[in-house]
This record gives sequence, structure tokens and C-alpha cells, in this order.
Amino acid sequence: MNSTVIFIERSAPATITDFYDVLANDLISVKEKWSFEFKTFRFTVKNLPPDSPRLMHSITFSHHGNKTVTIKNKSAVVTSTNPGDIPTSLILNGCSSRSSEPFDHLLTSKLSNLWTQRQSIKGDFGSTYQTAELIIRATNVFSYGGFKGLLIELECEENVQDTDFEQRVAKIRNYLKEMGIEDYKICGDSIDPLMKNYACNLAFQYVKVLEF
Amino acid sequence: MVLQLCLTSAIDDDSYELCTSTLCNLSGNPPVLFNNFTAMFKPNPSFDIEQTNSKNQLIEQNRLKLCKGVPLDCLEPDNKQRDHRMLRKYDDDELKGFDLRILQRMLHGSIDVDEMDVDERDASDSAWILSISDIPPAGANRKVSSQAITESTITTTGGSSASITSFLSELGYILDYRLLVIGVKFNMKHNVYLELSKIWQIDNAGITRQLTKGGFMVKAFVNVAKSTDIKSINNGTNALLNLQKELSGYIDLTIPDRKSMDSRLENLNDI
Amino acid sequence: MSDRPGSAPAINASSQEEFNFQHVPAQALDAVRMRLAQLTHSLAKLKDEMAKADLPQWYSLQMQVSVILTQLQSLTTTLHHFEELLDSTIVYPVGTFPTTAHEGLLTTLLRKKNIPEAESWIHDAKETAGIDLNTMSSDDVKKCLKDDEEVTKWALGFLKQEHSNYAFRGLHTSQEISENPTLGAYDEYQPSVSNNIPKQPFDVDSILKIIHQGA
Repeated sequence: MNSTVIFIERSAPATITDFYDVLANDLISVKEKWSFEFKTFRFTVKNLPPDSPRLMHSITFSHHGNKTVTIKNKSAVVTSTNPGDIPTSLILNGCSSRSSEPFDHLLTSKLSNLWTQRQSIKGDFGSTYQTAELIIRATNVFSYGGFKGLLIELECEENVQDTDFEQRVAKIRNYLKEMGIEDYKICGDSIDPLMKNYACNLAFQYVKVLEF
Repeated sequence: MVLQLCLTSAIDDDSYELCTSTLCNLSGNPPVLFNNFTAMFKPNPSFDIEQTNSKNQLIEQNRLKLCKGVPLDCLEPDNKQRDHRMLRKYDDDELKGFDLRILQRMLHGSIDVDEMDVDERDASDSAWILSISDIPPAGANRKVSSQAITESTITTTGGSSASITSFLSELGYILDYRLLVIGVKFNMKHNVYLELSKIWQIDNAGITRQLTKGGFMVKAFVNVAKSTDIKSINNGTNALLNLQKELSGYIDLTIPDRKSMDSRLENLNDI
Repeated sequence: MSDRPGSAPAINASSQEEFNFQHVPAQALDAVRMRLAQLTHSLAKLKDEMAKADLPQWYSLQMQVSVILTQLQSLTTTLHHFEELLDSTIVYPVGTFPTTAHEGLLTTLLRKKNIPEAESWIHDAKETAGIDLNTMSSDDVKKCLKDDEEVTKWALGFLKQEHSNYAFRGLHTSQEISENPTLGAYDEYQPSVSNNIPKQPFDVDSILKIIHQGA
């Protein structure tokens, strides 16, 4: 499964409606609402080597099973608070007591001497559009109430060739161009080409476009 | 935040057989074999870590516990012999017939590309429970030990360095020590669990040392999902005290020393 | 409403200025009333406790039931004792009785049939006993009761006999004891609790310390 994330900082809250109008001809259906939350944490250790990254990001998706991906440097973990996501072997072997807390809570409570939360970016009540080629999720992004831009997530079904996907993405980019939008960040890279962990890759793309 | 209420004791190897059948009759349930591998991580000592956070609250350095089950077929290939009697053969430091490299692979991931593909298919393979436990609060008139545990479920790991160890090192934590627990557990009445377990410490050279040599550790506990749920805490406490009364004269369950359940780093001033 | 066979003497009585209460079986009625009051009180209490969310302890229940049985016994004895007197007593109102003000009481006192509630209890009891009064004569019923008593008697006898066939104490069967009477003379069984108490091979706190702190 492939994905690409686009973030248009130079946009207005109404740009999402324009984008919808452009897509209207290709639309098969309008699907569920979605949201995400993007948090940045800063490593507070003073004597860190100057070249090592200090920032860590955590992204919680309402789609993809409400999972949270926490990503730093080249490593990522996927955490979940959904009780059904705890593998039964962990419960039976006495590792889990079945009440999981969000990983963010662990960071902000128990590890706050190491990690300080710096910003929180939210996309609430986003729209999901289904076309013949792609699933397109679009939402306006806010940080502490202030408008930050428009975020578009492109996803295709499994068993679609990489080249096909690229063409489909190019088509969307053309639409944006027609709308007069050419200045934006786009990322379709993968955090690790070997592993193909979809949630981690998607989170990585979010980090790339949203990192200020 | 889970509140774990517990009482502990110990029995010797010779009493194991009689004890399991006694508990089996008492609980009305057969013993359930369990095992888990625990890796304790501590804040990287090369970092200069503040003891306060940005809000100037005191946050003490605490170890992180990473825990998951070990597939039973690694311990006992023969399906028929996998029951509570299996534990009798582990009375020594050595874990006979157990390949410790499995634990290494769990923590650090496999370097072999072919094997990584195999791991990907079974998602639960890379799942871990990450938890931090507080020191049980002090108090003279406590009847059971109560420890607050904050835990989080890691379902998978990813990235170009996808092992759980590399993520935790990015988080600022390094491996401190490793433990392997094999035991049996009984579901007693009123959500009380009673565990008889053997515990090994695994050092960096891969040498195992049994901590519970000559016997089994006995732990009776109740997990209360919310630490504010006074009613459940009282029910759990009473259930544990009833079990303590029921077993008294046979297994004497007592409150463990709270200081021995402290997983903060030693260099900090004790309360 | 029941018919009123006592209405004629009642009219006669009302014509008399003074009514002689001497023949009212006050003592018998009071004795029965006392027993009934005790019994209804106990039954109500039991019913109350059974309706509660957490049941009382079994021994307290057993005590209450045995008290109720004693009270029932006492009631039946009392009834039996005054049977003749009560059977021959007929209730009728005197002329001065305030019939309109106490109509309810009057109808209750003069009632000859059972009230419907009691009727259904009796019906239930008969149903449970499996006796159909429509098809059985009173002799049959008596025979049925007698049979029942005989079965009970036989079962009791059988139980007694069987009990004596076995040895319920000690480590030997009744046959072994009858063959060798010295066996059952003393109790050989000594529970050996002390041998099986587990020893504590290590200090739990030190292990917990290693679990939480590594050393």
C-alpha cells in the first residue's frame, strides 16, 4: 500500500472547498470524517552530541485503527490504547494488565524530565473522498486555534504498482496547479524501504511535511 | 494507571507438587503455564538529565520495563509435556534446552533480511508492553502492598532501525538488565491471581542465574484498572486478605518491603 | 357472602338486655391467637430475610426454620387440645353490634368458607401431594396417607440398618473390624500437617529488589 502526504501552508481555510470542487468530477463517494493529532517533543538533555536530533514526533490517526505512531530519527513505534490491540499472548503471560495508556501520557507524565512537549497540531473533522484511483483525505490544520494550512493524504489500494501510484499522485498535483497552488511540501518517501510498515511510513511522511 | 495490590511468599522445590494440587483444588481451576521475558531499561547515564521538568516538578529517574511472552515451544518442544510439571526440570541456574539467542533477536531485531520478512507476517511478534512502576506508598497500617503501574502497548516497531532497543535508545534509555520468568498461575476467586514462579537473571555474556534457587516465588495479586476506584480497591484488598487467611499456616502471604519494589535509580535520595 | 344460620339466635339475643359472655371460649381463642401471632411473625421475618440481596448465613436460616417448626407444632397441639370446644362454638352477632360500622369484621367472623387466598394454598398443597379429591373417596385418602407413613418408617429403618453396616471412623472397614476387633480400638489416623508446610528457601524481598533494581 502506497501513500503520499501533501501540506499546503500557503492556503486559506476555504482552499479545502476549492479542492473538493476540483475533485468533484472524479468523486465516487464521500466517506467518513477523520482527524489526526501531531505532537512534537523536545529532548531536554543538555550534553547531547550536537549532530543528534532533538525532536520526536507522535501522530495519532483516527483512521488506521486509532493508532499512535511515535517517531524519532530512524526509529518508530506504533502504540495503541484499543484493548483489542493488546496481543492475547501478552495478557496470558502476565505482561499486560489490559489497561493501556496513550504513549503520549507516558512521555508527559513519567518522562517529562527528558521530554518536553513543544507544539500540538490538529486536523479535526477532515473529509475523505474516494475516487476511482485514490482515497484522498483532506483537512484544515490548526495549531492552538490558529490556522496553519491544508493537509492532503493520498492513499491507494494494495497491489497497485508504484509507477501507477506516482501517476495518480501527479494527477492530483496537476489539479493543485490548476488551482494556482504550487508552493507546498510533498512527501511520498518511506522511512524504511525494507519493512513496508504502512502506519510508520505514513507517520514519517506527516513528519516530513509538517516539521516547521 | 493500574494499581496492583499484592502479597508475596515463597515455597521450596519439594513442596511444589503438593502446593500446585492444593491450589488447584482450592481455586477449582487447573494451573496455567506462563512465561515472560523482561528487559529493564535505564536512562542513559552519559546524558546529563535534569530531575525537574519544564514546570519545575520533581521527576525522578525511573527504569522502564519492557515485557513480552516467550513462545512456549522454545522452552519445551514437546506439546504433550507442556504443563505445570515441566517446571520441575528447571531447578538450576541453567535453562536447559533454551536458546537465549531468541531473546536477543526479540530485543535487537534480526540482521538477516530474510528473517525480517518472516517477522513482518506475525505482527504480535514485535508487540511489547512498556511500563513504569512507582514505589509503593509508605504507611504503617497497610494490609497489602499497592503499586501504581503506568503501561502502554507497543503493537509494532518500524523504521530503518526497527528494533525496540534502537527506539528506546532514541528515547534516551539503554538496556540495564534482563529477566526471564517461568511459572504457573491460578485464577482464584474474586479476580485474585496467584503465581508460583521461577526467575532467572540473564547477564550480558548470556549466562543465566536463577534467583529463586531451591524454590518458587509466590505472588498473589489483584489488578485494579483505576487507582481512583476506591470500591474495587477495597474489594481487591479484602479478597487478598481472605486468601491470606485461607492459606495461613500453609503459605504465609506477607506484605513485601516497599523499598525492594522501587525501580528508581539508586543515585537518588531515598524518601 | 356466607349464609347466616346464626341470624335467628342473634335476633333472640338482641332482645335480651344483658348478654352472658361466660360461654365465649376466650381462653381457647386467646391461646390459638397467641400461637398464630408468633408463627406469622416468624414466617414474615424469614420471608423478609430471603428477599434481601445477601442471604443470611445457613446456620441462622436453619435456626429460624427449626423455631418455626416448633411454633407450628405448638399451634397444632393447641388446636388439637381445644378442638372439641372450638368445633362446637358458633359465632353470631348480638343485637347491639354496630353492624354498619364494622361490616368487614362481621363478615369475616361469620364467614364459613375459606378466604380465596387460603383456598389456593390448600389447592396447591393437594396438587403437590398428588391427591385428586374428585376421584378419591375419603377412605382412599386415608389409605394414601397411611402408605406414606409406612414408606417413611421403612426408609428410616433401612437407613439405620445400612448405617450400622459401615465403619465411618478410623481406617478400617466394618468387615475388618468384625473379623479383628482389636483394629478399631484406637484411632490410628494422625494427620501429618507439620511435614508438608513449605519452607522459605530464600528471602522474597531480596528477589523483588533484583526484579526492580537489577541488583
